[in-house]
Amino acid sequence: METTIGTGLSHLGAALGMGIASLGGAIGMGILVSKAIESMVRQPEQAGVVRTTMFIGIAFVEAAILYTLVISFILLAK
Amino acid sequence: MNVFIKDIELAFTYLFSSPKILVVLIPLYFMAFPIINKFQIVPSKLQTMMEMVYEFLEQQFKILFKKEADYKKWMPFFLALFFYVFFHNIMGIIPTMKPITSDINITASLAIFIFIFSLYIGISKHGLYKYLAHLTPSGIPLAFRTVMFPIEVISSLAKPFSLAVRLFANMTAGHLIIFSMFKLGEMFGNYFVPFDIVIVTTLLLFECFVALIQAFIFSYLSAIYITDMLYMEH
Repeated sequence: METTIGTGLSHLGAALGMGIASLGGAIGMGILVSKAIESMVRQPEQAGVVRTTMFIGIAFVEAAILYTLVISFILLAK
Repeated sequence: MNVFIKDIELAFTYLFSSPKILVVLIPLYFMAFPIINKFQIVPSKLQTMMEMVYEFLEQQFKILFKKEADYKKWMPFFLALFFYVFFHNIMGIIPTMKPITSDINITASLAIFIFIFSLYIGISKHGLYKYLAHLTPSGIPLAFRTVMFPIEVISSLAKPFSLAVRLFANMTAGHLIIFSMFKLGEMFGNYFVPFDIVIVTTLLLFECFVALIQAFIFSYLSAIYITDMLYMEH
């Protein structure tokens, strides 16, 4: 594959986009887990429900990051 | 359409161009488990596992249904959906195999099926007019509702898309990360191998967890979409 400015820029865009997406996702996940732990400590009898909801929430946040991953793969494969 | 990045094959549609299509049938055995083996009062090991999974799912899904009869009617469908997606996901941890759900054809066809199914339920149960009115919240001025209507139509069309891409991206990403860890081992040479074993084992265990969570989320979200159409409240 010949390297042109276009492909270089698209590779840069893929990497930058992935970085920004995981930055936002990591902050979101941090807030999510810290709040979940807080509520688990406050109400230990509800810990099971909170834990399940937390995992579902984490999966949603992760999905948002992975949408970017798909986009960056499309950029890389061009 | 198979995309190659360096020598990593990104298979969007590898499944339907090969005789591997037969492995789609493997989860059917597990789904037919209650028919093949009669449930006993003193459960066997496999049966205990199945019962644990079922009890967890029952606890989560029962809240969504307003009536006991609806729960009885719909639960087998979501249970089958859960096990179908789960065994497809977990197939990725068998060496030389990919999870079938890392093919977007499978996830997209499941998601589109669920979307059309929920539309059918909504329209046949409540009528077309009530379905269209349900898209926007009641109790706000008519001008707002007309502005909101196209946005809500687009957001309801985005539901099956996000359902499909979420599962596809999760499965593909996990598999690719394990693959690139093996590539890292090749790049750094023999000294890296012990680290590589630890990293790949951890990632594989994490993959099992992700497979379970994603299967649950897929069936749970489709249950939310369908029960939303079943009751239509605002």
